[in-house]
Amino acid sequence: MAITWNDPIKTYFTDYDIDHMKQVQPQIDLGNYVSVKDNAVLIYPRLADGSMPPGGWDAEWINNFKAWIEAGYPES
Amino acid sequence: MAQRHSLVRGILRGLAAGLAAVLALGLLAGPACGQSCPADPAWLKPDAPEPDFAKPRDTNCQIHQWAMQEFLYQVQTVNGSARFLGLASPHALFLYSGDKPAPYPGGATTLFKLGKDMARLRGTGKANAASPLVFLPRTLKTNDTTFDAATQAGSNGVLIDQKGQWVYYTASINKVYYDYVVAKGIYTLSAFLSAPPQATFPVGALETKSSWRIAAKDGTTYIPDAAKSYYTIEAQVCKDATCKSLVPATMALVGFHVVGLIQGHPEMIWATFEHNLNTPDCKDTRSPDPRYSFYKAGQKCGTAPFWETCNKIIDPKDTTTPSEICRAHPQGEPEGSQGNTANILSLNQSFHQLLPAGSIWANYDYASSVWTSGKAGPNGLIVLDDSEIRGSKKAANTSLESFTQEQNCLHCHTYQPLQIGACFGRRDDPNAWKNLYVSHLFGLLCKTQK
Repeated sequence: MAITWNDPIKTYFTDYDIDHMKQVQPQIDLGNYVSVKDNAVLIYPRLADGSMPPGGWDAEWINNFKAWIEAGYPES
Repeated sequence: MAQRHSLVRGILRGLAAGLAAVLALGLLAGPACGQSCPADPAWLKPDAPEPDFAKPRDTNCQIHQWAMQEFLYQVQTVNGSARFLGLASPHALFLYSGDKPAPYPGGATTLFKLGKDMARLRGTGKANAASPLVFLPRTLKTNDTTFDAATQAGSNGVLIDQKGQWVYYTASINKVYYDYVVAKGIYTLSAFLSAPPQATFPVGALETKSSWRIAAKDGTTYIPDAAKSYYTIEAQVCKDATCKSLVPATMALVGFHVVGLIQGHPEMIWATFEHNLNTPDCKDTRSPDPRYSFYKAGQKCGTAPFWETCNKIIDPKDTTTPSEICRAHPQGEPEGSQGNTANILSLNQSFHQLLPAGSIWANYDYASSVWTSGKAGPNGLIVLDDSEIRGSKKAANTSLESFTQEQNCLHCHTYQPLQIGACFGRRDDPNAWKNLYVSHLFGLLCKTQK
């Protein structure tokens, strides 16, 4: 199944993640497709090294996020 | 008959010459056909005035034109050197506790020396007018760093050219910026921390930041005939990493930021220019061209969009291995405004066409700018949401933000407290937010007054 923003990438970000990121980095809206797409190469290393979000993502989610970038950020 | 032929030939020659003149004038005096965002020939006159910061600029092109005109104004020759070199150093403004800045451009300068003693140097005159100019390296962004320095904003990385030499940086501020800080008293840490969140710099305030390669140092030449293709100045730099002594050096300009507050844009316009031999575009690696400052011919930089083997700080303690840099987003794409990339390309083409033959500035390109829609939130703070970003969303300079090209200036230059020392509070604490934090020069207060 193709990995898209609507399924499943968008669902990976919690309301807490979205709110906290806006406090730390106002330009990045983790609930917004364009904002995540434009900042994905910036976000990915933080996911991969476990420094974001609190608690970290499991390997499957991290791999999916990278695959989404490499696929050209499909929205749906 | 022969006379008649001669007359016809004369008329034809005259028409041809006239046509050539018209074409030449067209190139020299105005934009070429099809340019969506032209430069104005008047900006290149030796005594051209500074652009009007108070003039409303509603379109993407108009803001790029401000950036280009301000760049040309700052590189005008004044008293034998570029105008921006005569602006005040931030070290002349943010002094030690109890010291009041002298009238613009300031007097005694506060500089730090690299090394454990971190002695301050006083009475050396304003940094940018010292003769010759002194560049100092800095280590990580800690309490003992300076802006006349060798590490980059954001990453703290040291950029090392292909000759194994550090790239140095310096900053300067104009009279509007300087006088505002003095008038408000916010040259002291306590007054700055008490400044209201919604306060902004006035229209006309300007910062510049420039990056420089060592063309020659202590008798060794690193860029042959540098003055033929770079803007160069004579300066002093540390002899070695201990910085216990200074040596003469010829410095070659490789990058330049102009950052100004124009009408309706309290976030400031963040514009950047760079030398055309800094790096190739990432998509053009492996370039075989051996002339690049920060890229080894034939180096492969990986694949888009990660460029795995370039633009990385491999080992922060390694200060000798040349950096491998490529330009990830040539005009700072993606666009924050429709037509942005086309306008940058158009303005560059126009600017280069207008330059007189042999101009050193033909070797420099306008790279990108970033700004916002200019909105203010209900709390008076500038709005930095992604949807409000205009210009280039990845505005960056390969010699100033080599390792952070996935960000733009406004990722770091926000209303949030500076993460320098322990003076300014937490970045995510709304009670500590204030618009004036867009200028990181206030970070000097944490070095001089804490």
